[in-house]
Amino acid sequence: MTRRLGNTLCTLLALGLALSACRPAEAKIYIDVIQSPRKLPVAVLELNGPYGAVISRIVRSDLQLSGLFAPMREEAFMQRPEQEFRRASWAGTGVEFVVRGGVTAGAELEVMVELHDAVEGREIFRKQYRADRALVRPLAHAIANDIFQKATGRDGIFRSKLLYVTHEENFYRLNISDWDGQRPVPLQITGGALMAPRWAPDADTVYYAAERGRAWGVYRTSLSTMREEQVLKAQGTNITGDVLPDGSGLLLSMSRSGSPDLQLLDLTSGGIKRLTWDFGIEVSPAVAPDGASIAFVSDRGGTPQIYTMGLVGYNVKRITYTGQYNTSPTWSPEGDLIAYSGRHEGKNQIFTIWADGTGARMLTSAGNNEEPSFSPDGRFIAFTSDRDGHKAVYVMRVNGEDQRRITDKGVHAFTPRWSPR
Amino acid sequence: MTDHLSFERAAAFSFAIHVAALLVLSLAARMSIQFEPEVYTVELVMPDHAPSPEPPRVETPGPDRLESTPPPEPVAEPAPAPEPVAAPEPAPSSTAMADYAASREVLATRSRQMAEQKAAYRRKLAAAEAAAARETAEAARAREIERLRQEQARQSAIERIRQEQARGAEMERIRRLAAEQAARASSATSQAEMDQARREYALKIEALILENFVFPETVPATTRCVVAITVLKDGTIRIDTVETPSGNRIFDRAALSAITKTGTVPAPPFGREIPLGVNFGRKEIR
Repeated sequence: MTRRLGNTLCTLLALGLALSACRPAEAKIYIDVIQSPRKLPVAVLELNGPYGAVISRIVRSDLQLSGLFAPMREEAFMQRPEQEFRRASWAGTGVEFVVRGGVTAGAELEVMVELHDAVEGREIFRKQYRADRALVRPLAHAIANDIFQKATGRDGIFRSKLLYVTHEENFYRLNISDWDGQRPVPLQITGGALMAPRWAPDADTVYYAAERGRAWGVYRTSLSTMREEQVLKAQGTNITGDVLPDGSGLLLSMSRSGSPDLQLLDLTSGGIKRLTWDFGIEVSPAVAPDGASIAFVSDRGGTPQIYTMGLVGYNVKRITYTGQYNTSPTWSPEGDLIAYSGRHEGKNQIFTIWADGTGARMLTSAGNNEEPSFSPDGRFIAFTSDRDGHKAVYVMRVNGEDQRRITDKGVHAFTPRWSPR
Repeated sequence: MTDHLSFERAAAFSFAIHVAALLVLSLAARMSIQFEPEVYTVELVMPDHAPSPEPPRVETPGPDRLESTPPPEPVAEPAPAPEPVAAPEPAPSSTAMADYAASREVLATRSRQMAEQKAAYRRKLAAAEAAAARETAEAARAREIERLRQEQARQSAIERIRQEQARGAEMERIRRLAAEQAARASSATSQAEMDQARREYALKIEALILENFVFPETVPATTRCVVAITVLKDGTIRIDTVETPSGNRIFDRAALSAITKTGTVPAPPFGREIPLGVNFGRKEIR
């Protein structure tokens, strides 16, 4: 009896063991590490040699201003600039990338830069740069661009330019500066009125509308040659809108028929094609990056609002319904977002809205803020603001953070346009 | 005086003769009885001194000492009550006439008496021996019985102990089985507890990796990748494989770097390594 019971128990035990052996005791557990984007901790060691300090400072500033990096303070560095990169020195600091190198100043500057992955201890790149001493800033921006590209996978904008108009006594002038407002250069392009400068895709030719001798004309100038030519001479007020992505045409608003309408100027043939036939006012045409559609301002609904339509003139769609006065649309390089200027509580503010008309978002609040322009990477917006008492050019992140003036105090600047690269 | 001496001599001689005769008789009797193991040694001494209450001394002409083999002294006599062997009565004094016949008669009587005595003794002895033997045998038998009984008792005790042990072992086995059953029952709950502990541990690892997960906002919002890791017994993290790459170089690097930076973590529970799948993703901020 006992034996039978024992046997039964034994069998049960064996069965239990077999079952427990079959059971996946070490089943894999999945965990979710879902994170918001964060700034990359980077250590930019001072480059050894002459100009090393200047170059390092510019690189650090670029990375900082990009909003994607958190440059570490120099006093927290775990190795001296002259020392070779050592991974162990940076363990536990959270630093992801380390920049080091040296400069030799001969006839021109020769800069050797290394970028290290501080976590994996890997050298990402080692590159030599050469430049005239006068071009130390562009040189530093070039270095920053390479670091940015390797660390983010995207092209840096540190060598992009800003075009803007300044008001000097009784005339207006076109200016150009680095993306950070440094090295502002007043161009010999002036007018009794000067409006709506626009970049051609080649990042060298600029189009603008100028009033000279009481006549509005549309001009273009190659910045490399500084040769200006008039592309349109017609009656009425003709304001530049946008250059097509392939550079073949120029969108304009022309008032020769009475109320302004949108027209497309063929830059090769000089022919003009009318895009809108409405009785209302249609101005500020902006072409989408794909060249297939345009955004513009129309008061056909009673108040000026933002509309989109196909380049050939149909499929018109109103996208702004908030506010009584929305103007100056511009497309993001990705083509998914449109920034514009809208009146809010009596003041103009910068908004962004998805191209389908959803998700309008106000980015500014101080003073009047107008004439937005996207950076080539779509991460920044340059705009005009009078928050400091007079119009000046400002830059902010596309989400509205980190707004800062880039033109000098006292300089009346407005209508910024960011270069395409 | 001389006569007296000669008589004495004659008497002594006669006595010696009788003794010799007795000895022959006793030998003959002994032969007839066939009583085996006895050996007698008799010491014959010349009666130089007056007869004493000492054991009998037979004075014999001849050598000073003589050892006669036939009448042996009892050696190692097992008999319980040995009587003085051939303890002759004190010789009759001179009152006794030198009557040979009378002497013979006396001697014959005496020898008869002695023979009887001896026979009686022998019978007694035999009886005693038989009794002793019987006793011994009985004792032996008793001992044997006792031994057998003890042996039996021992055997039964051993058997009892063995049974006891067997029962104990059986009980132990049942107890063990019951314990194992109980353990299995409780291991069902402790398995759940283990799973719970492992999940909690995994969440801790999640927090540690999350802290080290740094990627720029240039990474598209829908980017995801899965990395298979194993937390070893000592808390070291081993990267096994990128199960599902994101296709974004920057994001994949950030994921692997997050694990590398996390480095060594607290040892996993129960001293067992834990395989983990880490879903890396970008949080939607739209």
